[in-house]
Order: sequence, then C-alpha cells, then structure tokens
Amino acid sequence: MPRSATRTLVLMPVAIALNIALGSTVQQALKLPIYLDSVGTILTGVLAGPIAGLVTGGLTNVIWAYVLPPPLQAPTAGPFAVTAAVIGLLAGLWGWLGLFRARRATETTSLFVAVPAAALVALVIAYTFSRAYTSPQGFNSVTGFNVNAFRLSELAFVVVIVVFILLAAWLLVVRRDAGAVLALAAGLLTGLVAALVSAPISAFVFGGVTGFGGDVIVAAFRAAGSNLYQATLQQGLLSDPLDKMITSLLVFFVLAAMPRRLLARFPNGDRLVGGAPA
Amino acid sequence: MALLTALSALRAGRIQRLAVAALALTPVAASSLLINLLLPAGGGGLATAVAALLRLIGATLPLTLLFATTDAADLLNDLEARGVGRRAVFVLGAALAAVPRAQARAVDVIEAQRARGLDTEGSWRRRLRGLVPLVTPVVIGSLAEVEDRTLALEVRAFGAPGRRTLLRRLPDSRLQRAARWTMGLLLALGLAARAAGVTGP
Repeated sequence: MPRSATRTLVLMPVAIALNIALGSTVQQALKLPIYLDSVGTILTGVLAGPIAGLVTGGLTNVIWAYVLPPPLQAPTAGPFAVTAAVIGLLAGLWGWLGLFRARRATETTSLFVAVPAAALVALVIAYTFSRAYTSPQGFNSVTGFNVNAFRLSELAFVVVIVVFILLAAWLLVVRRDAGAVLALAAGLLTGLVAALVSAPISAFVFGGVTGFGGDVIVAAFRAAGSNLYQATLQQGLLSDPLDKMITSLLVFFVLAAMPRRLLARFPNGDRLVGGAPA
Repeated sequence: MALLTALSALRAGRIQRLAVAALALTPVAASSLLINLLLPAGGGGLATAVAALLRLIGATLPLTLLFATTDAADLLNDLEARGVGRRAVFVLGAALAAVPRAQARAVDVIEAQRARGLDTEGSWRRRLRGLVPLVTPVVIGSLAEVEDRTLALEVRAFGAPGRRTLLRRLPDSRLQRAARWTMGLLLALGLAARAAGVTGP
C-alpha cells in the first residue's frame, strides 16, 4: 500500500470528526443559519478523490445519527447520508478538475480562466432554474417533481445568485483571487445538486420537518401554495447553495494557507499545488 | 417497533440512554406538531405529525440501542475477526475516537478567539466575520494531526500486507447465535408479509 493510501485512510476519520465538530460546536457558537457540516467532506473529496469523499460524507451522517451518545446525536442526519455522500463525490470531481487549486492573482491567465468559468456556471444555473420555473413538464421529467407554484422560490433563486455575484466580485476585486471564484462556483453547483438529492429525503422520510431552522422556510413555501415536495426542494435550493458556497470558500482558504509540501502528499496533491511555485 | 426496542433496552438496563436519545427527537417533534397543526395551508394534521414521528423513532432507536449496549471497540474487533477489511475497521474506529478530540479542539479555538475579542454574540454580520477565524484553525490543526498519525501508522507497518493476529476473541454463546438467526428470520418474514400485502403500509 503506497504511503498516500494510508494518508487517505487517516484523513477520512479526522474529516468525519471535523464535520461533526464544526457542524455542532462551531455552528452553535456562531448561531449562523448555515449547516457547516460538510467542511471535512469537501476537504477529503478535494484532497483524496471522489471515493474518499463519498465514504467520508456517508459515514459522517451515519455516525452522527446512530453511533454517537445522545448529547451529540442528531437522529435526523441518518437518511441524509445520501446527500452527504453525493457532496463528497462532487468535491472529489472538482478537486480532480483542479477547481480548488490556489492561483496567483497576478497571473492574468488565471483571470482569463476564472471569468469565463464563472460566466459559464451562471449560464448553466440560469438555464436550470429557468427550465424549472417555466417548463413544468421538462422539469418534472428530469427531477420527478410536480411544479406549479414557484413564485417564492424565484425570489430565493435571486437571493442565491446575488450572493454568488457579490462573493465573486469581492474575491476578484478586493482579494484579487481568481482561484477562489472557481471554488465558489464549485460550491454553488454542489449546493444545487445537494438540494435536488435531499428534497425527496426531507419530504418522504420527514414530512418536511427536520427540527432545523429550515422548517420555517418549508412551512412558508407551503403556505404560499407549494405542495410538500416542492416546498422542501425550494427550501433546499435556497439554503444548500448558500451553505456549500461558504463551505467551499472556507476549504479553499484553508488549502491556500497550507504548506505546499503537505498538500502535495495527498493523492490529489498534484492538482492542488499547480506547476509553478507560488 | 419502538416498543420492542424499549423492552429490550429495559432488559439490558440501558433505558436511560434510550430515553435521552428519544428526548433528542423533541425539537423535531415540536416542530412537526407545530407545523402540521397550526399551519392552515398544507398542514397534514395530527395524524401526519404522529406518523412521521413514529417512522423516525422506528428508524433511530434500534441502531441507537445497538451502540448503547455494545462497546464500539468490541464490535469493530469482532467485525475484523469475521473478515471485514482492516482499513474499514480502522476508519470507523478512528472516526469514533476522533470526534471528542475534534470537539475539544473546536472548543479550544472558540475560547481562544473569544479571549482575543472575537464577537460570537453580536449581529449576524459580525458572527459571519467570525467564521474564518474559527474554522481555519480547527481544520489546519486536524490536518496536522493527519500528518502525525500517518507517520505513526506507517512506522507500525499499518500498510504491510498479510492478516493480523487478534489479541482478544469475544465470547459468542449458542443462545446469542440462535437469537441472531431468529431476528434475521423475523425480518425476512416481516418483509415478505409486507410485500404480500398482509400488513398495512
């Protein structure tokens, strides 16, 4: 077994603990309306590849829901293991594509990479959402959801996109960091997929009620005329992209702050440190 | 299902722990009742709320009981003796051991940053500003730990091929074995009955 395989095996449990510690202790300390429970998952995916990310995400929720003693236990997390696994898988993909590589702001080439990439992501998202909102049949055949009332969620979508644009602008103009924009875009995509995956779980298993602040949002969407499945999806499309964008940025900043020699030892290290010394 | 679990918990003298686990479901229950009862549009009423809650309890309590009565280290040891891969066992065991450590690290970082004047109580914009100073040290500390532990494991030939000798074998009585088979059989019967449509959904 090569050295990096052992390293991946050690990284996974530590990342699981990281998920749980950040998702419970730090989340409670800051009381922000984000989950913060996938930092370790995304970190593992980016550093050690899709499979490691998948295992980390899935195991996190299983352990959190069933194995830990009560004060820490989060019984509702169990079924969402599927979502967490998908998040890890996607993070592995983004890491492999090099979206989390630290790029120097002074490199004009990186700017040329980042701007079209961000535009492309925005286009893809606009397309997905516009299809979801304007063509119920098309959306229905893709996701299995029946779409009738999406007025409120259009508003939610605008919120998500505005936050994305603000964060991207802040990264480009203030921090002059083109690489972070790519990580941000990766977070947005992850959040969209996570919302699509977790909506049926939330609706079928929990009836839209998970004991989290999101319940109120689901209730609001239902009061506005959506049925249960639409409401959970709309809530997910609002909070998941926000959470994943912030998480991805955090992971990116951590990776950028790490010594290059440490990063290079992980399986995906080559794709994180790039060719030229920073 | 919940009843059965409670009974076996009573037998094992772990009812307290199970009750605490059930208590952990209170926020969900309260939220569920509130939304299903008080919401004029889309609320499913009391029946929906209770059904959703029972489903959740049925899914949660048995596994909770398993880990309340079984020492995780014993379980993992036994799994390894039965041929589950050493690496899978390591990941599970190490994760369980790492949770309290990560928790302690998070508490340390929170307290240290508070001592330096980080605002964790103010407006949400101030709290958002606290995100990076709290998360980054915890993550970097954890990654440093990964480095240390990797080296420690490599030095102890974790990656070497071949089977390991177990120091401790767990007793497995005939009664326990019979109980396992019975439970498996009951599960299969239940599934069959449900598939055949004998019992309700």
